[in-house]
Amino acid sequence: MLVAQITDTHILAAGELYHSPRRAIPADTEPGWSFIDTAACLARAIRELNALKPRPDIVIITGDLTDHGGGGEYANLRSILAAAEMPVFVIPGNHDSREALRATFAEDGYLPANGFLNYTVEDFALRIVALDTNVPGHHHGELCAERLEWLDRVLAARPSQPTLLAMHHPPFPTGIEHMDVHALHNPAAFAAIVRRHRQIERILCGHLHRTIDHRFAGTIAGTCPSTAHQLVLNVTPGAPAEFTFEPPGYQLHFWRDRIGLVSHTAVFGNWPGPYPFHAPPG
Amino acid sequence: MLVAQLSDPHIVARGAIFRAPVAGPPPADERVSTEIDTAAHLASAVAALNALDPRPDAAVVTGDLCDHGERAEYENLHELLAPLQMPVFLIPGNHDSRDGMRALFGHAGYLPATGFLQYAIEDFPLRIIALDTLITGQHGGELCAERLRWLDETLAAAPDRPTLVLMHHPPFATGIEYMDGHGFRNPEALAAVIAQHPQVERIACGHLHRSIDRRFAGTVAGTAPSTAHQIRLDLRPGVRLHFRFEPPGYQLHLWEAGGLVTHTAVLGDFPHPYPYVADG
Repeated sequence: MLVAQITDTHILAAGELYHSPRRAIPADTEPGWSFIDTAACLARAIRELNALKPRPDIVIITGDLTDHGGGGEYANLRSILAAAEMPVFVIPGNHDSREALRATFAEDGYLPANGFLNYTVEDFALRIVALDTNVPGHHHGELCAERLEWLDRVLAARPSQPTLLAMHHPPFPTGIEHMDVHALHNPAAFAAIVRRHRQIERILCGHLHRTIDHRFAGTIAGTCPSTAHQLVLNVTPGAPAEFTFEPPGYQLHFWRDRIGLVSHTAVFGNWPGPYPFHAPPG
Repeated sequence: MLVAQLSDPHIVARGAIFRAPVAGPPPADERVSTEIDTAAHLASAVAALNALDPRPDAAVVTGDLCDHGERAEYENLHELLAPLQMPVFLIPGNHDSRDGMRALFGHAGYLPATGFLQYAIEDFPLRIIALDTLITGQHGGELCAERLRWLDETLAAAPDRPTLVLMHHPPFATGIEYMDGHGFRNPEALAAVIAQHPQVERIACGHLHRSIDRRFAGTVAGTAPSTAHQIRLDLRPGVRLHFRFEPPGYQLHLWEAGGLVTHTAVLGDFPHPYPYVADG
């Protein structure tokens, strides 16, 4: 089974461009890079995922689907995702709105009708457990007692089924300080549950707009690049929040019986190649 | 503590150009580019590491240092690494020669004078244990009983010290079939040793010219991008191996009280930085 992960798509209403808050942009910043066509970035991502051979069985988008959680933004997101030739599962990030997200994707049938947007996907060789770390009005993430109890219960229900957890906020500090202050608030309580359920092959996260991974509670937790803008890698305390136009990317989580889960990080875009490396056998 | 990992620079002799071993005409629909200035790529990577703030405390290069294991190649490698403003530790890959590495880098003091190129670095908060998976004359890798015993004993000597293990060949099948055919031969035996030593925070590997990772024996095993050419991500069985000029990269392993966090970074000039306000 092949799971494609994309994240932090930050879609706006049709025709609008993502831009950093104006007051943060110095006068000498090249204006062309202050605006990002996040919708075009996502459309390209979907096009490239559709073209992959083998084609991924599903796509998971790990939050910050839209930039402000508005209805017009979700309508635009929905229309872009309609091009995907495989099932798409979404979870909320700190920029999302639980109810607008639910209303937009309700007809797909996997989201609960009310409450937190936690759910499981049981149709594949790898079980998906999706977590809602959203705290309305805040950028940090939380898994309250209710969400943690739900997680513990659903994991206990299928202890021998290899499982991916998906959550927007990574449960570990990354060293990028301006993002770590908007981290998941109670990682220790979450870690205690993860440690009890050894079938968790990986915890798929977003939020950081970079590739970062960490040994966590007996498994791996990792973040995926954004489909649009990346964050500058700067682990200096007090470093400013800055983005960079390094190539956007995705991850491919490849599950095989007896071999297990292997995660590949890949970039979008056209790059020179492919060039053959060896002659074909014989 | 910050450890920068470079991998698979494939340096050739000064003035020579790396040539991919295309042994026959490719199918008509495949373009061919076989020449790569791997020395220029490594020089760029060295400059990028020197420019990092905070500067890494150590750099490691996880094998395939040179393309044919020849002395002139190691001389060139030595010159290219000389500007690094931090200690650098090398391990062999399948393209390397133990004697070639010893001849040029023995003076640094961390390589054993004889036998396998396995060693431990004890100077930092994060202990570094380097393994030698080379099988002379072959592209696959292994850790024989002698090398595994050394690893087990070395880990047992400092069970409370968080440890980063280095080895060229990743101890897992990646799904890139051709490379898996030249992979690490005895992952189960290594897993049995690693599982006994929970202080291993990560096994940092090369060989794949891509960023790949997995859960392994209670820890994480991952591969770093090459400083030069990347291998195409293609999981189809039976497909030919191709390289592709995606941006080269490196990894930064950040050790802090909370554990080891690994960042994957790209090399090259991309438009940046553009400030934003997260809660604006």
